[in-house]
Amino acid sequence: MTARRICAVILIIFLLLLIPGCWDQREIEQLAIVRAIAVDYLPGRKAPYLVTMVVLRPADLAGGESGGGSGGGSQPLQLFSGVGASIDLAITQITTALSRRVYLSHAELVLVGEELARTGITPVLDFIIRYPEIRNSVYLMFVPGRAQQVLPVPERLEEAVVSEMLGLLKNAEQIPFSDPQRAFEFMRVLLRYGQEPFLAIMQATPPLEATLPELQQVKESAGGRQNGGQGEGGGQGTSPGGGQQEEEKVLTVAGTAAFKNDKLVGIMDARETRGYLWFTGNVRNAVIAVHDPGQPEAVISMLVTRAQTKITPVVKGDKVSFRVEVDTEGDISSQNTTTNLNTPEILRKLNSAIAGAVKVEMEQALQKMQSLETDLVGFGAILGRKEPKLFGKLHKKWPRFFRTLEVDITVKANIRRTGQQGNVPAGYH
Amino acid sequence: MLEKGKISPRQSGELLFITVFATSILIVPAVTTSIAAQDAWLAILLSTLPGFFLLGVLSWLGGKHPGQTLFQYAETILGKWPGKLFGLLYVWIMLQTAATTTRQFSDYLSTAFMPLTPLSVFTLSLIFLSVVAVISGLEVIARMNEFIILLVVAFLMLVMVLALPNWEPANLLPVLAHGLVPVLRASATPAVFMGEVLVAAVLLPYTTRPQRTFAAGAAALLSAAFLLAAGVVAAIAIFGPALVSVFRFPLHMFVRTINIGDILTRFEVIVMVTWVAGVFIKLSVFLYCASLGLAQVLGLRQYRPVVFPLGILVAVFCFLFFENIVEITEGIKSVAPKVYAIYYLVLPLLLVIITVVREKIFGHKFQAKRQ
Repeated sequence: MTARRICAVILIIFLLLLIPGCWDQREIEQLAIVRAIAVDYLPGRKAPYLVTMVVLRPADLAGGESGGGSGGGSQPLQLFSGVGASIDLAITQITTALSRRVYLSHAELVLVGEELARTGITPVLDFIIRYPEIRNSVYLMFVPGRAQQVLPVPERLEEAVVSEMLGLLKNAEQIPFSDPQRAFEFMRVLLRYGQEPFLAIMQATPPLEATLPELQQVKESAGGRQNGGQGEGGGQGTSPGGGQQEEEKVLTVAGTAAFKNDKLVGIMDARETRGYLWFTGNVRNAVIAVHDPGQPEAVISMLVTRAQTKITPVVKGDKVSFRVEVDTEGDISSQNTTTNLNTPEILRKLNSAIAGAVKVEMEQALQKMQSLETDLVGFGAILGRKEPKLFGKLHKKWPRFFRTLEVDITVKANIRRTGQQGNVPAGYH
Repeated sequence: MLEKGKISPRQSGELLFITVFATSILIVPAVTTSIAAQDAWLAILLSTLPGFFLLGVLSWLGGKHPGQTLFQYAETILGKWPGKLFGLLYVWIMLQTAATTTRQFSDYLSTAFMPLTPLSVFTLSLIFLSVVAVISGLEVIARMNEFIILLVVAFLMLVMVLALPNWEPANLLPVLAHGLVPVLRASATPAVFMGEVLVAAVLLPYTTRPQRTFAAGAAALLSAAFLLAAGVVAAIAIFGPALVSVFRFPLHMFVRTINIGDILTRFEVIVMVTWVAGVFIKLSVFLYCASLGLAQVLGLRQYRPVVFPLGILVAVFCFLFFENIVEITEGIKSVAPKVYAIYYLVLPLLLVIITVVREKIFGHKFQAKRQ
């Protein structure tokens, strides 16, 4: 009996030993919690990888609102940079400048700079998979130019720039101008034969007010009293005081960086991206505008509520082509004309006009992809599932094959509802 | 009798389930996927066949020698000294399996969670715990397992359901693109784990209704294979076969992709905890069988004195056998199927053949004896 008791006591002591995590114990007060990582490639250097980490300020964690007095101008961002011959070497360099231990488990965003994307992002992927702390569900984003340069852009709605970026990503998933990819999503496409991966683009751009020529003139005449008028990109809210900074920038998520294997080969703008997204059927909330068949000088637009895309390979002997059938429906969302929409006739005409517009969009996106020889849609992968034998012979030269691939696109559009208004009353005009 | 406890057929089935399942989930998905690509799940289902064969042989032998374990009836069938040698071979393979299990699992913990912690912390604490469990007896292990099995199965199911949004089912196509050959080749590795139903040969005489052991074992084998196949299907659907075969521990990676509304995330720790529990039971079962076997071979009156020394042996083996993780995975991939085929298929079959020969040709009666 006593032997048993001694055993039990020893067991309990053992458990106590295990609770703090042995040699890997980490106290939260001693961690530098990294929220985002930007990786750049500096060509021509021996240590080409430039890693910049956004670290959560411990004071912000504990204090909550306590720093409110020190002014609305938010505290300087805690950015830590290092260079190295690999990503972990760069991080090692950063640790010499850190008062705490790097902790990557809460990193949610990895930004990839343009130069790095051109030389290949395999080192980033390797780091994400191999390193025990960082998760394979982090978002991978492409940044034109240096990835590091988007980090000091001031946040607008959220309390920190990383939260702002994550918010942009979440929102970008709802609108059809980009398709943010998690690291594992990128990798599974990267390793698939007959499909090439892509990343969504995040960039710092001047706000619309800074680029519209009309507003430019107003600014010159009215001095510092700038007021963002009907800016479509969201009203410019908190430009601090009147002292207009010359380089004011806002973050945007739009467009697609097309890859071939792990290397960047080209950029598709927001419109081409939407054209691409029609191939995946992931275009909810798209607004398609077409000329009114009755009054061709103005537009009528449809909000897409549903879209389905079916891609089928057509194999005739040695010839491979594809049939893409898009079936979409939506509601009228605006009308700048007085055409009476209350006739099935006009809706039919509108349907075919919208279908035509969608088809043009898709064809442009396809042309772009074909000119880049990067099969983002995965026509090859679809063929591989249907005809594994045939694709087995083709897969090595698929990019070149894809360049001249014949794709037959048919779009069916259906306006189901017209919103709360049947047609614009004639009295308006 | 060395063991006075009795377990029910259900309990023995549950023990077999955990024994097969606990570590196969660590390495098997990557190894099978690297050979059979998206058909890995099929390879896993196929790999149950040798398991069923072994289970059938063992219950037939067990039925012929009621109340006897493998170690005891080996002596009755082969004669005293050849039988003892035969028994020692099995003690050896059980210790080796226990050591491999411990090492695999410690490597997993080290890779995924605590890279700085010395491996001996994991191995020694796990082995120490198992020694205590084995000294407490079979009934205790079986009853503990009734609770742990719920954890293991429930959490695995939960994790699979939560990962559903990340699925891309097209990754599983085309089925059998390269024919049946790679599937068969890939099934060799999971078969090593399915063959661990070998411990049924020791559990059988301590089951309340030994004739039900085959049914219980078959159910355990089938459910373990199905759950493992489901895990592999999930991993392939999320990552695609090429990525799965790159990972060391695919299921760990797949649990990491779970993110539901930014709230339900980071499940890998829960999964790790249940796997620790499962591996603990598996190790206890093997250590128990090895201890009991050694005691029976040596004709001891108690098996408890040999438990602790054997535990130390397991700890030593798990550092002695493998230099690094590559040796383990490559060993399991290419060497283990050949070695274990001898223990799981050839030697049991030998016992059957000798039994039949002695009964049919020499007219010897085995059934009559009872202990």
